[in-house]
Amino acid sequence: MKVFEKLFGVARPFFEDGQPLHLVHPVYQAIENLFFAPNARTHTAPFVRDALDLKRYMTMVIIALLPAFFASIYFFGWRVLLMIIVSYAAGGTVECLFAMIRKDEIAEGFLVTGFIFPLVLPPATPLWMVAVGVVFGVIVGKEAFGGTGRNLFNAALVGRCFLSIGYPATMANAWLQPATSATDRLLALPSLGAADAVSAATPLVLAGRGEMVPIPDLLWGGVLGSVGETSAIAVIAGGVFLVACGVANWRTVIGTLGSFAVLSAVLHETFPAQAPSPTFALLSGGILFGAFFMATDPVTSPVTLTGKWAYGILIGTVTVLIRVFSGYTEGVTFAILLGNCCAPLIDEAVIRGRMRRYARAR
Amino acid sequence: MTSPSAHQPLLAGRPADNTTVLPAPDTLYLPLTSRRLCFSDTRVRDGQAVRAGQVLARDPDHWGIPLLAPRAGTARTMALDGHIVLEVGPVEVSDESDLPGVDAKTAEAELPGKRADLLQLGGWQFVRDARTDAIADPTQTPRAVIIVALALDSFVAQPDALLEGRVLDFARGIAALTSAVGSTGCQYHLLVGKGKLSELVSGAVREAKLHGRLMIHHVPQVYPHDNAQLAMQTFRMANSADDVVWCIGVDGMLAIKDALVDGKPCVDRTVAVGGPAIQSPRHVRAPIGHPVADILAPLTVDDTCRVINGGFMSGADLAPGQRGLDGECVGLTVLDDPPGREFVGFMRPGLERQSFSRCFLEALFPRVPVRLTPVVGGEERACVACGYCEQICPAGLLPQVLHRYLYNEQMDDAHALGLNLCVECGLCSYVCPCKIELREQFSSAKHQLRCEDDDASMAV
Repeated sequence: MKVFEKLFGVARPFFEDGQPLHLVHPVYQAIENLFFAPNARTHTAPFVRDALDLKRYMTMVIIALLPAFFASIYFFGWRVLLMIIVSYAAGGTVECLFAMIRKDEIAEGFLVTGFIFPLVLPPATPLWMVAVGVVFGVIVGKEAFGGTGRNLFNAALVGRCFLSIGYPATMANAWLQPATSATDRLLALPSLGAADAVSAATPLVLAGRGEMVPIPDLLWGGVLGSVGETSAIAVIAGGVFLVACGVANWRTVIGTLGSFAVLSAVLHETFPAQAPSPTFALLSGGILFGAFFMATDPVTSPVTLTGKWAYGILIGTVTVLIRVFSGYTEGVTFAILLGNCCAPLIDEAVIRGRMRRYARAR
Repeated sequence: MTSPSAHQPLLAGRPADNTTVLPAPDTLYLPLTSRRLCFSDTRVRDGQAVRAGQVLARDPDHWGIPLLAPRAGTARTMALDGHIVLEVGPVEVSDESDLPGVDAKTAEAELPGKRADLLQLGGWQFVRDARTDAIADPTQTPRAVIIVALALDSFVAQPDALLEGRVLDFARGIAALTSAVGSTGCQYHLLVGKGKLSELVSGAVREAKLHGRLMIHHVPQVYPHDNAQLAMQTFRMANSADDVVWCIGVDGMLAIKDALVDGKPCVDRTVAVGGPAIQSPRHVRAPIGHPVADILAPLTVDDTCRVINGGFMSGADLAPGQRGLDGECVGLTVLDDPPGREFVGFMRPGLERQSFSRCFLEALFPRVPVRLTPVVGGEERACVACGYCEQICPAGLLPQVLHRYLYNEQMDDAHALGLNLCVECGLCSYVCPCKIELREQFSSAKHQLRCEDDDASMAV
């Protein structure tokens, strides 16, 4: 610790105003603040502040993603780790560049974006596509709007959406056959290319053909799907943790999953041929991952607590409708992006209602 | 009404209930400014001998509220900037008359007798406007008076300590207050918590025989439910925005009794001295102007600490040059201010900390006292709309939206969204993970709104 303190003490002057390295000051500042909390003291009441800061807040999301991450390493091998490294490197560079141009500090939001983006991709996505996707997501989805806290759309989903529209064939054939035993992939070297990519059908596609993957398989994992969504148990474990520590808002999660389950059940009764049972629907595809980790992104969901209910219900409903009535087998990405679009509108409705109430009381 | 602000962290350093009376010092340093008052109109000459209770200075902006000499002695007006220094000792008071010249254009003449007496004896400053927390206008007639018999900010003088052996005085204070208020249409509200003290206080207030004009409200003993504005909104004490509502705390009630029943000037204060940097937290009773250093020196653990005038949620920094206790002080909170920066603080599991969001695994471990330091602990960031402020806001507002409006300078929208209902408790600033100074922002915006309103009414 003392060593670090000395090291930063030596390095700091090089990045100060007027020094040649001042341009990369945001990067230096971010690294220093990663090791040492900022020195600021309160100057106005309340004089004591909660111990939580944004770094901790974002770290909790990463901790909650770890079960899904470990499950994906088990099923899809070390390739997943490579994807995450590429995502952090490419996206981080863009983030740093923007911070330098803005002469602003690097915000913590990217900690999550960089980690979550590979988890929503098919496991055999070529690494260059991971880089392209994350760069597009960060620039168009976030930095164009002003950075973390001001973005309208979830940056990771913008990146994913871009890839699935820009490279539909590659994306559709980038699935990996999951491992069946621990030795399958954990002992194998990661493949840089997509040599063993398959174009096999995911459980949702199979269900469309009337072939149901058994529920235990869906729960445990070992089914085709995006990197992070394969094991429902791992996603639920992380998601419940995230809700329990208050970072993911329970209103969004319950709104999404509740409306999804209810509508699935109703449609399953009415159109048994098209709509699978609600249990199957919940456990297959990305709805769990989306509800726990993507929809709960606070920046792109409505800011009001009442609004979060409406937002969750919208996402759950639209996902079912896309899955059952459209040509797409999976609709979570689109549903959440649509929810992002509507979030300001939902907020506006809540705020107007509130204003009317205050006006009446006056 | 539900209480969304149920976050009640464990705190170390709460002051004990018993009160220590401090030995009289030789010299008193009477500050000329305090939170609400500014005694700019000095009424004694440098070196003049004064008797106890004599007027040393007045606040011309607040109906000439006087600064009274707590003891007899020699007044020095030039000795210390921003203070009147009083050398305590028996003196021959020859010159009784105040300084000529700037004559007090006080409202005394127009005031009803009792209110004028109260003002002259230094007791009026405890009567506050419930909406603004400023000193109440003595020329107005209140529609309701809120008697606040609990103090929930940490490390401020507790009613238990103030009322020790003085419950009867409290009841007499209320009787005196009703005669000072005079109006028959005035409703009295008593805010109490739960437990023995609240029963005692309720009993005492019933003694005052207010016959149907008294309502007792039991509020949760969680900060900030002692806030008069919050109570006013919760229990709908005013019918319109023009209704005048006053509020008075326990210290004010006792001061009113001293002034109106016994004719004694209000020159002594009971304050809490607490906080993690205080060895044995306690209440102390001392005259106004008692050197703060003398109060703290025997109790403080070390000297790297931060002294706050009031509680840590609602107080203010002790003014840099302030040497003596001011007349509005309710407590001195002393926080440790460890030098240096925390090493990878955000990654620690948090066995020793508590957080509103439960992010520090606090749910899994026994409750530990919160580490009270003035460290902000993070960088200020753009709002990520986590919603913690809305969850904790006791007035049920949408602080994150208000922040956005004020950030965009949409004053009218902020006003329509209930900015005026903000009670400035500071809980939103406390929980904000982006470390945004919400309370400060709302407070200054409210002030601006009030000024605009005043200008508008002037123009009319």
